[in-house]
This record gives sequence, C-alpha cells and structure tokens, in this order.
Amino acid sequence: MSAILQLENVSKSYDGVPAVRAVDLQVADGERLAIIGPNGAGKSTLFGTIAGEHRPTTGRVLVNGRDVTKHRSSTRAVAGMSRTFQVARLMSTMTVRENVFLAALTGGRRGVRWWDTLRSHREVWDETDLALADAGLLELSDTVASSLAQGARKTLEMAMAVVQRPAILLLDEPTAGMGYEDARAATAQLKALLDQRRDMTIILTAHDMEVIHSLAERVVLMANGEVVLEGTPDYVARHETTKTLYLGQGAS
Amino acid sequence: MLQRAGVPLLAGFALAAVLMPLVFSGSSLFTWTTAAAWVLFATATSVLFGWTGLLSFGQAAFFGMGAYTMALLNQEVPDLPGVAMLVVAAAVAAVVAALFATFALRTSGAEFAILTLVLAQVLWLLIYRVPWLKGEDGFSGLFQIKILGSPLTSDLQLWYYTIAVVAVCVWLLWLLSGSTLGMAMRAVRDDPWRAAALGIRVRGVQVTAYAVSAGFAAVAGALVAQGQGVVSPAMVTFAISGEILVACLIGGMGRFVGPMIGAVVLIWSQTMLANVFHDSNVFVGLLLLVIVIALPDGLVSIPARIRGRRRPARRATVPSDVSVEEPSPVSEVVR
Repeated sequence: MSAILQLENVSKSYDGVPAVRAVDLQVADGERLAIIGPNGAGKSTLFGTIAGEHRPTTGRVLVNGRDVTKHRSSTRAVAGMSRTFQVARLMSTMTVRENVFLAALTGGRRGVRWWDTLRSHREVWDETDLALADAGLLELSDTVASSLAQGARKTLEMAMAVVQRPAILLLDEPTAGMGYEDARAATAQLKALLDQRRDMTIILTAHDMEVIHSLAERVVLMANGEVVLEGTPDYVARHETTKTLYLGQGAS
Repeated sequence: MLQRAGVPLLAGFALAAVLMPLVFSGSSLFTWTTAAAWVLFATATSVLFGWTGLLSFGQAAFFGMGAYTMALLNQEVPDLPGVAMLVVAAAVAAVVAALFATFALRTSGAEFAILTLVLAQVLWLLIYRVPWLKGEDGFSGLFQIKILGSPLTSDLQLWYYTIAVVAVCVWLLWLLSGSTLGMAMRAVRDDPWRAAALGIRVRGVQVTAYAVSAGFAAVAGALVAQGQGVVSPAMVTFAISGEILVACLIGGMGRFVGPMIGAVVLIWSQTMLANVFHDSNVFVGLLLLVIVIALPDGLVSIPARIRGRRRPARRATVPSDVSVEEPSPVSEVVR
C-alpha cells in the first residue's frame, strides 16, 4: 500500500513555544491510525496541521505525494479530507437535513455552480436522506441543529463527514464529552459505519483506550510534541512508556 | 415551487405598485418611493449582516457611492438611460467593495466592523477634499432620468420606476437566498470553521457577500438620488449606516421580508414624526429599544409569538439519549 498522507519533519510552535517537534509520519491508503497522548502532547496541533487549520512552522504535509502544506482547510476538504471536531461544529441555524445536504453538496468534487438552486440538486437530497437513515437521524431530520443534544450533535457531525466520501477521514476525539454508556454505544455505531467504508483512511485522536482498540490498527503515542512510540493498539497499550505517561511522568 | 421562484414576492410588489397610487399621492407617494429604495437598501444590508453574519458600520459608503456615481453620470453622460446608470453604480460599488473586503477580511468581528466604518468616513472626507465631488454643496437640480428615451416627469412615474427596479433587485436577492451560494453564506455565518472543513472557501464567500451587498446598496442610493434630485455628503454619514442596521433589527433578519418591513417602518416613522418632534431619531431609538427588549427577533417574529402563546412548550428540544442509545439501522441499509 502506498502512503496517502505523509508528514515530513513537521514542527509547529506558537510564539516560539514548540507544540509539535519534527514529526515524521506516514499513513498508508486505507489505514486506521490513532494518535494518542496525554493533554498537551501536541495531538490537537498535529491534527490541525493535517487538516490545514494550522500551517506548520517547518516541514511538509503531502497527500498522495502532493505537497499541500500551504493549502487551506477548505482546499484540503475539496481534495478529499473531511473531519469532525472535538466539540461538534454544526450549522446551528440549519436543520439536521440541511447540514447533511450541505456536506454532501460540498464533498466529493462535484461541479457545484454558485447560482444553482438548492432544489436542482435532487440526487444530493437523495444521498442526504440515505445518509440520515444510515446514521439513525431520520427522525431528527427537521430539527434545528442548535437544539440537538450532545450525542446527536456528534452523530450528525459524523454523518456529515462520512457523506462527503472523503479519502481521509479525521476524527478528533469521537467520544469526547460522552458518558461511559453513550461512548460505548457511539463507538459500536462508529465501527459499524466505518466497516462499511473500508476505502477510507482514518486518523483519529482519542483518550479512550476502548475507542482505540475497536477503531485503530496502528497507534502513535505523542508526548511533548514528539512521537515517542508506535505500534499496534495492544503493543502501545501494554508498553511501559504509555503507562508512565498516562500515570504522569513523576509517578514511576 | 411558486414560492421558491419568488412569485408571492413579485406579486406583493405588483400589488403595492398598483395600490399605493390609489391611496397616496403627492408627498405621501414620494415617501413610499423613498421607502421602496430603503427596502432594497435594507435587504442588501441583510445579505451581509443577516445571512453572512458580517457586521458593517459603513453601509452608507456604498449607498453614497451609488448616489454619487449617479450624480456624476448624470452630469457627464446625461443621455445614458436611468437603468444603465443604476447598473454602473452597482458595478462601481461592488468592485470597490470586493477590493476593500479582500484586505479588510484579514480581520474579523469588531475589527472588521471598525474598518468598514473607516471606509465610509474616508469616502465622506473625500467628498470634501476632491473638488469635483463638490463638498458640502453636493449635486442638485432635478435629474432627468430617461426611461425608454423620455424623462420621468411626475411623482407617479417615479413611483412606478422605483418600485419596478426595487422589485427586480429584491427578487434577485430572493433567488440568491435560495441558491447554493446563499446556503454557503449561512454556513459561514453559523460556523466558519465547520464551513471551511466542509470545503467552503470562507473568505471568498464573505467577499462575495460584501460585494453583492454593496452593489445593491448602491442601486438603492442611486434610486434615492434619482428621486430626490439631490446628492449630498449627508448620504454618506454614519447616521445612514446606523439607520439601515436599525431597520434590519426592527424588522428582524430571521425572515427574508424582515428588513423590508423594518425599512418601511423606519422611513414612515421618521417622516411622520419629523413634523411632530424636532429630532425624530429619538423616537426611532426608543422603538429600537422596545423591540430589542420585547421582540429580539424583530417585527417579523410577531406571528410566531402569537402562535407560540397559544401553544406553549413547543420547544424543539430532544431528549439526550435519542440518537446514541438507539441501535443504528446501519446494517439494515444496503448501500
């Protein structure tokens, strides 16, 4: 398998304070990678660098061998990258159905002309309704996003990311803010959804080991902005370094 | 279907065009003519303020730019048809707006709002500094607007002309609101991060919204200039920028017609109260205060309010366990 995403010597600092230091990372096409690490390890910054929200201070980001370091997040999205946020971001005044429609419309390099009426995209509305059914959101179709509960917000954002048929799907803390039960259910639902789309490359950040075990094939452990360990979920979970980091560096 | 195409909207304008002259004449009809231009101004402003979520304190810049472009065209090429002058005015304002916004939108929120104010104030100063803009005196003398080769000569003709132009422009904005660009504008307003992550070029949409808003504001300014036959620096003052925001807020931007209603209320209350009070803006200020407190979504929210009172507890809240706890139908849907 060829690398769909490549980070070459990527560093990012804020006002001289390094958040990510010289990270090299290759993600194979169709791979499922989890980036983990304690708070402040640089996961979110690295994630933002991949998504195009932060421009790295040094280094390059390549997608399919093409340098996209200077591309904005919207450009990368059009090129096949979709993401969810740690705290779900939605179009709050639009209904659930409109949110998914807009995602379906903007995803997948369609020829959207700005003067097109919304009705003229009949096939996109059909696709929207299928995605809503897939995500179990049909009953909430006409609910305005701002009045959704936390769990439904996450589900909707996931449906929006998936309906875009991205080559690379970025999931930032997919179960953040959920209780134990909800997180279990959401992880199972997510796994079922993603297993239908084996063509997608998935990169996720997570705290929750159960999420990592059920969704990831490879884990990268970060600490102090650097990659300190890499391997299968089992290997990383059992490793001394991981235990030390998660228990706090002073504990051992 | 008809609604999407804006048929009720056009019908409303046609009805107003026919009915107003039956009820009003002379100066009252002229007030309606001014109100019609402000209806367009308010709708244009809500493209920016309401749909795209960009606050501008300098809408008078484009309103005035339209008026001054009209005045200069009238002076230099008086044979140009009135409608052509409007098109030129719109184009000038839209180009200036697009160039300005490309730079100004490197900032956001309050900083952007202040920059728009600066633009309007710079234009206002230029009018005093550049000789051919005639400073305080402005341009006066009735403009001879030529429609189909002959000038308009009465309040009634001016009314028909103005309402027709406003109807077409507002209808175009209606179509915009139902287009993919209109939806992208709302997405950018709701959450620019999400919009960008979906692949929407946020800055591009904002610049476009600013240019569209400016273009139609310029048409409104040009219409007012054509109607009143006077163009002065008063059209570029902060008062105008403020009043159009007030009109949007009074009417409410939750619905397309809100700013239009707000504009009519604003112009009429100013006109009627100018005879009673020395400064009618005191009343307008009070009206705004009452509306912000009692009807934060503006006058258009009154019907919903009344319905809401009859049927209370109609909040669209969803129990927290709806989507996550239910087993997903994923496996049942074959794709």
